[in-house]
Amino acid sequence: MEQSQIDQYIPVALLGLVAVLFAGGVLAASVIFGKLGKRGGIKETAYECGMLPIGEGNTRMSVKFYLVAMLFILFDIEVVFLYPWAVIYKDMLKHDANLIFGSMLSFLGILFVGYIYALKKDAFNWKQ
Amino acid sequence: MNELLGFLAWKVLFLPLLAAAVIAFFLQARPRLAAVVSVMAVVVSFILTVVLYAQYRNYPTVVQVAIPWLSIGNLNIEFGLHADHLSLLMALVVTGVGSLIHIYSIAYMQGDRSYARFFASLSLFTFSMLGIVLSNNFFQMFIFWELVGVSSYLLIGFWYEKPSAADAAKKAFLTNRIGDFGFLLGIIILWATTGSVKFSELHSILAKNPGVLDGVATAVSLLIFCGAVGKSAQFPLHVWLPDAMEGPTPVSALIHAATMVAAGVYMLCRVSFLFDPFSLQIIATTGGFTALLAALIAVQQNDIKRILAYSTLSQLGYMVMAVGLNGPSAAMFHLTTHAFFKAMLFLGAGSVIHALHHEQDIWKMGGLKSKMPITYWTFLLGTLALCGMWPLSGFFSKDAILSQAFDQGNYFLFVIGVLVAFLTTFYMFRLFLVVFLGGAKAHAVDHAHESPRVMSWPLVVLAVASVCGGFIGIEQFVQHQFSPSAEVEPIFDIMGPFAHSPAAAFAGLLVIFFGFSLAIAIYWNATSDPIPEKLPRLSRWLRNKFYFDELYARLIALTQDSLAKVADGCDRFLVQGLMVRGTHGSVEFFGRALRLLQTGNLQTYALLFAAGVAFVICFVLFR
Amino acid sequence: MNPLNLMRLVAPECILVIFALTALFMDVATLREQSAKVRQWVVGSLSGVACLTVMIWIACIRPEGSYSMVELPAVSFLLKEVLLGLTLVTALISFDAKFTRHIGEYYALLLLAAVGLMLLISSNNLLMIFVAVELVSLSLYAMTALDKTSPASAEAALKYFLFGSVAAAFMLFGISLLYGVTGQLQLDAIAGKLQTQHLEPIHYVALVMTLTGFAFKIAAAPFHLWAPDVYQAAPTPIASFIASASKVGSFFVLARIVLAGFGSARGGAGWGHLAAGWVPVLAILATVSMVIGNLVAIVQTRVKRLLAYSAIAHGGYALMALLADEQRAVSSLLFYVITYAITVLGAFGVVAMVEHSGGRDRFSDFAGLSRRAPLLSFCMLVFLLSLAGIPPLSGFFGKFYVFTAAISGPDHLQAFWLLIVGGATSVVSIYYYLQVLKQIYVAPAPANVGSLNISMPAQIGIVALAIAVIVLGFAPGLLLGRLNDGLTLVASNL
Repeated sequence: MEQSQIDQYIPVALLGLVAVLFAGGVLAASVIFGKLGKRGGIKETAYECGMLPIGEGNTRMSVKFYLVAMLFILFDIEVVFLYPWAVIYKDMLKHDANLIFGSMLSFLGILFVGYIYALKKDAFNWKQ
Repeated sequence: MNELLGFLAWKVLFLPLLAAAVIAFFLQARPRLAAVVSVMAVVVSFILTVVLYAQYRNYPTVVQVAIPWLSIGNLNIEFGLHADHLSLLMALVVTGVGSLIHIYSIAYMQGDRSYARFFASLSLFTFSMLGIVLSNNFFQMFIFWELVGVSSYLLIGFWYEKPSAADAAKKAFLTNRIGDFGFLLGIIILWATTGSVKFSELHSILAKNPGVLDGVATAVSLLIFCGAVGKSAQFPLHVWLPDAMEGPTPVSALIHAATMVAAGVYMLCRVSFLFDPFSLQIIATTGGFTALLAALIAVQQNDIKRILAYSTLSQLGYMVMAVGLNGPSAAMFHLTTHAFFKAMLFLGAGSVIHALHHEQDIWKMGGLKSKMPITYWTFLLGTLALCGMWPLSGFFSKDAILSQAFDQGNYFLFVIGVLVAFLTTFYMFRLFLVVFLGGAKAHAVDHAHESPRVMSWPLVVLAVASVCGGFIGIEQFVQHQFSPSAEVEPIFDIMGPFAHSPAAAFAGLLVIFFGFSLAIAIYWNATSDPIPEKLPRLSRWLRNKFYFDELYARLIALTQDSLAKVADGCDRFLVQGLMVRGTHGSVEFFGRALRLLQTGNLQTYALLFAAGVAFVICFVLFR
Repeated sequence: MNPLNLMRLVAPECILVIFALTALFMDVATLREQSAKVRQWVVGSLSGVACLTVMIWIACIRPEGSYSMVELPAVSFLLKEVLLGLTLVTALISFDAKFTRHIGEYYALLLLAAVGLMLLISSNNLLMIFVAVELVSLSLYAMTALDKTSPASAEAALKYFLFGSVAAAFMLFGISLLYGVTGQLQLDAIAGKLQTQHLEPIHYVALVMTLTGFAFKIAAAPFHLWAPDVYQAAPTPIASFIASASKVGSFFVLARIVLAGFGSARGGAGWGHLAAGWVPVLAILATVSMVIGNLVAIVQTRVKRLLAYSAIAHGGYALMALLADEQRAVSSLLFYVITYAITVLGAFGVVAMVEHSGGRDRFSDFAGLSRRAPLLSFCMLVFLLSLAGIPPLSGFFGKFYVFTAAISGPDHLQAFWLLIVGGATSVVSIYYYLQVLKQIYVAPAPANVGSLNISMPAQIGIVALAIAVIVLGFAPGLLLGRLNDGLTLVASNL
């Protein structure tokens, strides 16, 4: 038995090995092949298509973007909880209906409160 | 009957507290009334103590009253009072001497802007001191012990505008805490091994089963002795007492001469049954050494109060030595007589200082004999009593200690005791000759005049006590406590000591003669001290108190401060940048700090955290 | 398995959540146009009312029992009342705080942190405990960062957050290992399993990892590095909440976990008789905390930093209690922590008042405070002397119980070395407390400052705390009796 417990980890180790090899290999390949080509001032610019770039390469995003992204993730998680709940809903309904329904109701309620709060705080108002 | 007595005992204890509370809450703006309330409280306390004492003399049953206070697990503590020979004697001293000093303060503190605060603190002190005296268990005693420390802190720092007073108060408090730390640990071990902190229970447990403390007996004794070392200012914690003279003079008389500093001795007497022979030896040696050290230092001091302070140290050394020599009754006897004459000396000094507008340098006094006759005569009596002149009280109590040393065969301490007696006479007469005789050494003396009645009467009363205290049976009374079966000696026996142990008595008187002659030879009509010129090195060491303050300051700087700096440095180093710069608060610095955080510090944190965990795991697994 | 039963048990928490949300929405919806002062008073009073309501609710109903992950021992009611009281005073001293515009959020977070703490002491399930710890922590992180004008505040919050998440990761790892070896998450079930198992290294690793998370929460050295920065830079009322209420909750759960969960892996901490288990771990954390906290505090020149280091040291003293037998350990620990929380909250309250009047927390800002605010200075005197352990203030009794508890346990007098460390460091501690008092009472006040303007609610709160410190000093039985009553009922299944 003890032998087999270690055995179980062999695929994991293999996967880890593959991951390291792949990541390292790709990085190495890009360095090796990148060095082979001809290099010059123009080639080093961000876009090699005739236009001279204006401004910096990495643009700054509006902070609103992060706000909305965060809110999206927050409400997206809700779905993750809904799936397992939906799966056991029918079984639970038979002997503990109040609990199964009440718990999801309160969960959604709390999220809804958060939603209202975000709304009141003008978090969804892109212009402001 | 016992209930009534118990009630009286409660009253004795709580009247001063009541006075302190009333003054603190209602009478801050009415100083005269505050003084009256405070004085009334302590005088009534005194009268009640006398009643208790009289009752006790007739029917010697110990008054015990207690209410359960708190219990946790197997630790049960009650709040109780215990009035027997020992505590009644001490309570009489505290309230009696205390009453006189309260009365004296009425005039002495006249015109101070914190008059009411002074009396509130004084009442608080009286309450705490009575608490120590009447406690029936260690825990309660410790609490009052600390309360006494706090009220002493308040009174030393009474004139807190003076930096020296504030520093002295802090020093006294901290030094005392070192002793108290040992005291508390001692109490805890005692409780852990015997399961009780009550004196009477401890006594019976030890009497029944003397081996119960085996293994920790010395540790317990010495730790408890630590408390006495701090409170009674024994070597090596003696440094706070002379500085404590920054407080008002009545405070010095009451707290730092007559009562509080004697609490350590009282406590040792109260639990003298605990000590094993080895710790008794250490206690005796500490006491003897302190007595000698302080007496030597006193020889070259020039501040009138400091001379008296060192003299107090030296006398406390005597008492502690007596406890160590198995003579608690002698210690209590000397404690009582010392309270009388030392309080008187301090009040006399206060009277002089008052007359000279707060001049304390003895070399700026002189010729006060004719200007302040009452002070002069009482001071002379006090000096003689302190030196141990027959038939004043000091002679009897000092003789009791010396003969105890002699009888125990401890000739080393006996010689030290005699030597200290010699030094005592020398420095006291130095003080006396320079202050009261000879010509005036400063202008202020010309305008000096006798203090008001309310200040001189307490002096007279104390003088009477100092004269008679030796032969009215104080020692015989307190001896009952320690050997109940001892036969009662005749009380009015002025010649007793000569018959009992002639060696001690005659040696004591002989060195008084030598000390007196030497003082006359050097200081008769002197205008400045000749010793620093003749013996410069010795004088310098004595004047600087053997450099103890400097030594301690250096030691503290070396250990505590540097340790603290190292520890702080480590902490700062670990979170460097972040907190050093982050607290500046400017945005630019914040940016830099954040960068530091991102490049190095988070890793440092995580590393440290992981290292801590790894360390603990290794410790648990592989130790 | 009636869910209504669950509702009954957690009703106090639910009520508090509703109040928190009300506070939040009231501020967002109806008070937007009002001045900051009005908003402070309305929302602050609402929070105060919330705490009082729930306190009364708990006092009247006392819903004992257990349901699923929730289990309420009798002592938890007392603890919850204490927590709510501490929260109430925190709300009172933030009445005239000017550090944030987000008033609704501030009070809502405060109440939510209180909810987290209440859930923390309501549960005997490691998962639930972890979630509650996170609820508290997240609220505290956000509150620490609330002062948006101060870079230091944001920095401290970031540091707190980063350090906190590392600690949470360790704790979670420990819990998962525990689950791995026992297959249980309920504390009593874990205890049962551990008793039958032979203790392997993996058990100890799990144990240490779990304890680490709590060592972080109570700021025991060497996991204390966040504390000085956070106490220093966070807005003072929040620092006071972190130092007081969150400590009470964390210590109780720590005690619950080690005593109820790991009872059989106790080990020993006698001098020269160390045996593997949680006791030596805690003994070492205690020693290091007492030494580092007290020593470093000596050289501080900012009062909040000084209080932070003193908090580390006090964490060490409190840990000593856990060496005792079960009931004794919990009662002395709780007595110590509760009195400490009351005292330190008061001390921070005084600091907050000085800051509101234009000062900061440097020593020089406290110079001559006794002339500017006599009552407040007296309260500070009481608090600091109690922290220093001077009888008859409550701090002394706390220390005394803890000291006697430490040697009353199975280690007996062999644990005396801890007492020596504790006693010696507490002597050292007086020095720096006196340093502050010297500034307040002796140093002359700067010429250009007038008397402090202190709002009424804050003053009431601080004075009430000072009175509590004194009363608990003279009559420690008041609290101790209730603690013991609560514990005797559950000593076996805490």
